[in-house]
Amino acid sequence: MVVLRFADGTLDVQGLEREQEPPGCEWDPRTLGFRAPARAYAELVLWLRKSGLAYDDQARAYSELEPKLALGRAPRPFQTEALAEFRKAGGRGIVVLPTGSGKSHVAVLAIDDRRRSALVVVPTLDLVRQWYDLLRTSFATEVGIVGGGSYELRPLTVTTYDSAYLHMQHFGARFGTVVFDECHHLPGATYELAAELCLAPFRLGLTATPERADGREAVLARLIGPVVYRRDIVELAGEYLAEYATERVSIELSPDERAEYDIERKVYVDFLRASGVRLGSPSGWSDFLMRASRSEAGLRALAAYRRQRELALAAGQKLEYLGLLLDRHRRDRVLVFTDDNATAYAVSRRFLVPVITHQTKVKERSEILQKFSSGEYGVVATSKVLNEGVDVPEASVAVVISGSGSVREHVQRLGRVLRRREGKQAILYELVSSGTGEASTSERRRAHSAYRSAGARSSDAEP
Amino acid sequence: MLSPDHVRVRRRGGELQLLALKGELRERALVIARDLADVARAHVGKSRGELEEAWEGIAVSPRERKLSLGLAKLVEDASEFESGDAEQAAELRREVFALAAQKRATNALSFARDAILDEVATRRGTTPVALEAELYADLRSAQRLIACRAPAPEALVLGYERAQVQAILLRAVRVVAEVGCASADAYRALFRQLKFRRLLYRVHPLEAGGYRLEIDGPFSLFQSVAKYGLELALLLPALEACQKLRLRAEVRWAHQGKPLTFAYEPTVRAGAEQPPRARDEVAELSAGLSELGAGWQIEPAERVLDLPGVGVCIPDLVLRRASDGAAVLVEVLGFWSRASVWQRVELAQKGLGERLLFVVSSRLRVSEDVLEDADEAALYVYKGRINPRTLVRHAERLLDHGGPSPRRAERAR
Repeated sequence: MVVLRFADGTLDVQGLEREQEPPGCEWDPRTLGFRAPARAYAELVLWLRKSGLAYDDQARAYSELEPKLALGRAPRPFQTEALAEFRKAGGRGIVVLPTGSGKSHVAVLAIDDRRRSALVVVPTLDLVRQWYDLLRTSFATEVGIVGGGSYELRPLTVTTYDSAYLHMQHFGARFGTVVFDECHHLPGATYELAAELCLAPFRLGLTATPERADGREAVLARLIGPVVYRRDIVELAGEYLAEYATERVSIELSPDERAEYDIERKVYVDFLRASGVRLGSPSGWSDFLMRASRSEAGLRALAAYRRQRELALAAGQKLEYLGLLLDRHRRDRVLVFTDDNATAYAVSRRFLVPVITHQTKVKERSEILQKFSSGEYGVVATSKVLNEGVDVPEASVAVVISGSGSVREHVQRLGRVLRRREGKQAILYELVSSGTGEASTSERRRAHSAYRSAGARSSDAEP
Repeated sequence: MLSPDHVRVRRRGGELQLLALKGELRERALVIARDLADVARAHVGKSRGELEEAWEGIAVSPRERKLSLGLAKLVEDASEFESGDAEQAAELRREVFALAAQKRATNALSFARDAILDEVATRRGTTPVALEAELYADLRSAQRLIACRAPAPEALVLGYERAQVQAILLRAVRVVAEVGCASADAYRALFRQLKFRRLLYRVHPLEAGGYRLEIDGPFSLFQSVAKYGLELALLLPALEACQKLRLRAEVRWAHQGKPLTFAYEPTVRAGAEQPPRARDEVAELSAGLSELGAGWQIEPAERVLDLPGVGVCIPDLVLRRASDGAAVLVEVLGFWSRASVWQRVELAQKGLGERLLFVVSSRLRVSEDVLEDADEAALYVYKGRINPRTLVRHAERLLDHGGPSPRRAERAR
């Protein structure tokens, strides 16, 4: 009799001869048996059945999902299509839909369709809270949470990627369906293990932008399944997403800032030239850090790099212009995005608006978002933590004071104001310090159809 | 625990080597350690942000930077911080932001920051400056240092050297340790830690004595992952408690880089400072057996019997018959747990290749019959205290007959 056991995120297979070579398994001399990543469970069971081998499955610890979908919300046509393609792919695949179009509802439908205990893995605690509410309402049942100080497992459970990486080896056999929300986070040395150590035969990935700068999105097919359905922002704008415009505003540094910027930039650039570091190469940045740590001149160059970046990203004039925008949109719901926490807190202190960073406790986050949704707060400042974590249909204005060169981050920030509401016209302002390195950073992050298409209005404005 | 950012290493080919702190640099390390601790003590009552800023002011050269950061981390770990009242700060923010939102919505042109702060400060009987200071009093940088218990500079620098090894093991994907312990209990403590940390291992005896352990985790079979790095780092004290230790680790030091090898052989070991000591019941049994006369020789056992996938057995004593040199290994399980007895039964049934006698208290409610069919192992269940004569009878039976236990034979008669 072949015996399957779940052993810390792997499958311990005993009772097979070494010559039998089950799929996905390797011979483990430490335990004198076969072993496979838990991910291979479905493939292994199918092989055992096909081979006519009797087996005792002690690995599977998931159950049939008892609660039924309690909300009769009619899916939009593209959601129905996405579910059909997911089914067709045997319950393994990735659905690519723009932020705000209702990806979560596709997952709810898929969980209900598979009828197995399900785990939803998300990148932030704000999304944990959001999914907790969604699943609780949709299935009219209690929902477990792992992460942010909670460890409660239930047939429907939400967790973060960090917690999944840490704990999947313990609870990875307890779910038959796993949903990876914002699944572009999954590829990577650590998070990948969350998928490898999970036994769930049914796997759904959700994302607006599967592509990654490092090209590692290719591993998603192995960890979750192929892309089974895809729709772009421009295909859904107007009908399912709010109409939107983007506006890039060039900000001049003050004379003092400009003088300091030029000096610091020169120190930094001169060091790069002298040391022969090419930042464009794959190891350029780590080369720079390594060389900078070896000499006084290097440490000075590193400090100069930080200062010139700080001057460009948090130019005093940006905050002045933000004041104008907050006046202009005083009756709208405005999200202010920054690249770093210090600027987010500076915005908060200067304009007396609430801020959400990784240091904000869950309870206070919830309260801020709830008041933002109800209109009690008109503005919320944040660094990166809300790139993927806020779902407020009323939000219609995004102001990007600073950000990275990441296309995904920029698209996600736009997505925060795209949730459709009758008569809504969303707008994203991007404040860029002219004549600084930030201008090229801005060019890089705008390399997406959402910023280039005819449907999106884009203009450069002087303050 | 230190992070890899605090560790002073160099690469030599495929090797990762710790840079020794010696000569002038060691002197500097002591000075930096003293300065960091002095600054921390002088900042008791001030904020973490202020302390970190003051630490930045301590002049260090580029090559002392990681050393300084690592020592600062150890001083920080030895310090106590107090957070501001989070509820009070959140309540203040609620009040200020609600009023500001209200003013902004009603008339943007009249939005005046100072007026809002004045209004709330007046309401609360404080000043706008104090109000601003309290607005984010619960942030980490605002935490107040209330005590610094950093040890003397010498101890701090020694602590840094040891902590560096653990920080490297945090990135380890596999560890090969050559260990030698002077007692069965020391081996047992090590294997208990391995089991507790849910690590997998292969055991190979070394010609010169001791064992070579290849340690990693279940998933390591498929991919070199640093997932078990924390467990490997936490295993280090148990490895260092062995009398002999030579360790080699495969380390993923850079994110995309090739794995490097790190070698470590401690000069000062925690275990080496304490002479090995047998448990009381084993020492008593050993003495009792010695008193029986010249028929048997008693030696402490230093063997690890490993059956992959089932577990290890670590006997306490070797009972050697003087007449023919035949030996029985004795493990005293006492009244630990029934589970450990069943694990030994499983090991014995699968065959360990040695004659083994497991000594178990009757409090565990296990019958000697469970191993009656085994040729190579037997159970001696004792009541109260272990009787050396009965134990020897079990050993003789095991060597000569492999038949029923003396008690069972007696009952049958």
